[in-house]
Amino acid sequence: MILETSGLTKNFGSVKAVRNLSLQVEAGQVYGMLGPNGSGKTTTLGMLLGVTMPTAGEYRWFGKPGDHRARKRIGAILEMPVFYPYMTATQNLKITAMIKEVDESRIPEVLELVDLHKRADDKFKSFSLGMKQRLAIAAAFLANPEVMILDEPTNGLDPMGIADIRALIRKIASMGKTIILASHLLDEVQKVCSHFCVLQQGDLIYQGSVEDDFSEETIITLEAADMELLSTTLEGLPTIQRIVREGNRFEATCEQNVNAHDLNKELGEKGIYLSHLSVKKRSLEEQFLKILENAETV
Amino acid sequence: MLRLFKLEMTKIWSTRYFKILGVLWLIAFFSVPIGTWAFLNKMDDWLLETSVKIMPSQLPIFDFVDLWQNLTWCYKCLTIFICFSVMISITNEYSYKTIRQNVIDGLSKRELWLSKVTLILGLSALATAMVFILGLITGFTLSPVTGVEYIFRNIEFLAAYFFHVFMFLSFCLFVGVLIKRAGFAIALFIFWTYIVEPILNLILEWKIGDWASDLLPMEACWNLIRMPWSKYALNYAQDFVGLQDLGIAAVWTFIFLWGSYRIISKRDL
Repeated sequence: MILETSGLTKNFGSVKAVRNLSLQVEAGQVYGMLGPNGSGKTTTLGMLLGVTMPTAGEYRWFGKPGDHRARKRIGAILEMPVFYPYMTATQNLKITAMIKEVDESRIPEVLELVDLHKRADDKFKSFSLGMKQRLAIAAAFLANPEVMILDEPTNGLDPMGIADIRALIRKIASMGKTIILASHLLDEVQKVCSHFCVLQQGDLIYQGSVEDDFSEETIITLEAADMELLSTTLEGLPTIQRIVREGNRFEATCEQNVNAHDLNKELGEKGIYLSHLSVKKRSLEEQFLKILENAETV
Repeated sequence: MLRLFKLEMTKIWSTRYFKILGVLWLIAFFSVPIGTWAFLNKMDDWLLETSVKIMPSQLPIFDFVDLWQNLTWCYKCLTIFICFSVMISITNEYSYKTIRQNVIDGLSKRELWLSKVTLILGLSALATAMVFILGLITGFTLSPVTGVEYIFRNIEFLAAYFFHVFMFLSFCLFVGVLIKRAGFAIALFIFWTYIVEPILNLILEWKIGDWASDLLPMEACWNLIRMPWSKYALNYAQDFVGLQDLGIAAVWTFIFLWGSYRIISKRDL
C-alpha cells in the first residue's frame, strides 16, 4: 500500500474543507482525484504533503506515518509550478536535489525528459506557463520518486501544452510509478487514470476503477410490434448486458463492438421486425452524473 | 546543518538584492575607518585656526585596546544592510511560495527554520570576521602599540558584535516570518525600531528608570556594545561588555528564534 488515509479532516474556521476522508492508493495505480474547484482536492494533497495541518485524522505513506522522509520519496506539484524566479532551470533543480538529498547528475536527464534541455540555463521567470509546468514535472521526477502527485497539471495550458503534459504523465506511468492526479476534468481522469475517487465539498462520494465505471457503452433503443417477444429475444443474446423499458421502447446496453446492422439481422431472422432502432454512445458526463446521483441517494 | 547552510547560500547568492546590499555594505564597511580618519584630520585643520589646543587625530581611536570597542560600535550602525537581506530572503520564500515547495520536496519545518538560522549565523560570522580583519589592518597601520597583549585585549567586543548581529538578524527573522511580505515586514521593522521603541524608551526611562528601558529588544541589542566616545571627553565610558546586557539580549534572541520556530511549525503554508 502506497498511501492510506483514515478520517482525514480539515476545517478552516467554520468551513469544512475536507471531511473524514479515507482513501487507499496501491502501488502502480494512476489514481485520479476528481472534483470541482473547491471540493477539497488541494487541501487533501496539502495535508498529505505536510504543508497543511490536518484538524483530525491521519495518513500513512509507504505504511508509515507520513513525514519529511516519506516526502523525499514523492515528487509533487501543488497548484502552480513554484520555483525561484531569479534562478535558471538548472539552479532551481539543484535546490530540489539538495532538499531531496539526491545527486545532481540526473539534472540534464530530467530536463531532457521534459524537453527543456535547451533552456537549462535560462531563468525561470522567462519561461512560458507550459515550460514552467514541465520544469515542475522535471523537479518532481528528479529524485526518481516512487510516487508522483500532480495537482491540476494542465490548468491554464493551451491544447498543445495539455497534450504534452498528458503524454508525459502516461510516459511516467508506463515506467511503473504510482501517480496521484487531482483534476476537475473528467475527461483528463478518464484518459490517464486507472483508479479514481470523487470529492464534493470535502466529502468522498465515490471510489472505484476507471475501467469498471467509465468503459465506453453503447445504448441501443428498439421498438417492435411485439414488445414481449423482443424482450425475451434480447435477453437471450449474449452481447446485450442490460435492458430497461423506457416508455414504448427498450434501451439495451451492449458491448462496445455491437453494431445495429448485425443486431437487426439477428432479430429479423427470429421474426422480429423493428419499427425503431437507434444507437448512441453514453457520454462520460452522463456516466459521471449517474455516479454522482447514486452517491447522493446512498 | 552544513547541507542547510549550503542550501541557503545557493538560494541567496544569485539574488540581485543580496548583491546590491552586499556592495552597499562593503562600501559602508570600508568607509568607516577611512572616513573617520579623514574626518579627524579635517578637524585638526579646523581646530588649528581656533584657540582650542587639541588634535583629534591624536586621540587613540584606532589604537589597540580602544580600537575594538570603537570599531564594533561604528559597525553596529551598518547591521541594517545585512538585516534587509535576511528579511527579504525570508519574505521572498513566502511570496514565491517556495517555502511550501521546499516542505513538499522533503524539508521538515524544523529544517526549514534551521536553514534560516544557519543563514543568520553565517552572515553574523562573516560580518564579525570582516571586522576582525579590518581591525587588525587598521590597528597595525595606525596604532603605536602592536604587541599581542594589546591586540587581544578587549577582543570580547568582537564577540559582543557577533552576538549583536545575530540578535538583530533573529529579530528580522521573526518579523519576516510573522509578516510574510517584504514591504510590510521592513515597514514594521523600521516603525518599531525608529518610532515605537524610542517613544517607549523615553516613557520607561522617565517613569521607571534606565533599567526598564534597557529591557526593550532593540535597546538591548544596541547595549551589547556601549558608546565609547565619552571616555575621550569625560574620561569615563563603560569599556566592557555588561553581563546584564548580555543576559537581556540572550533572552530576546531566544524569544525571537523560538517564536519564529513556533510560527513556522504551527502555520499552514
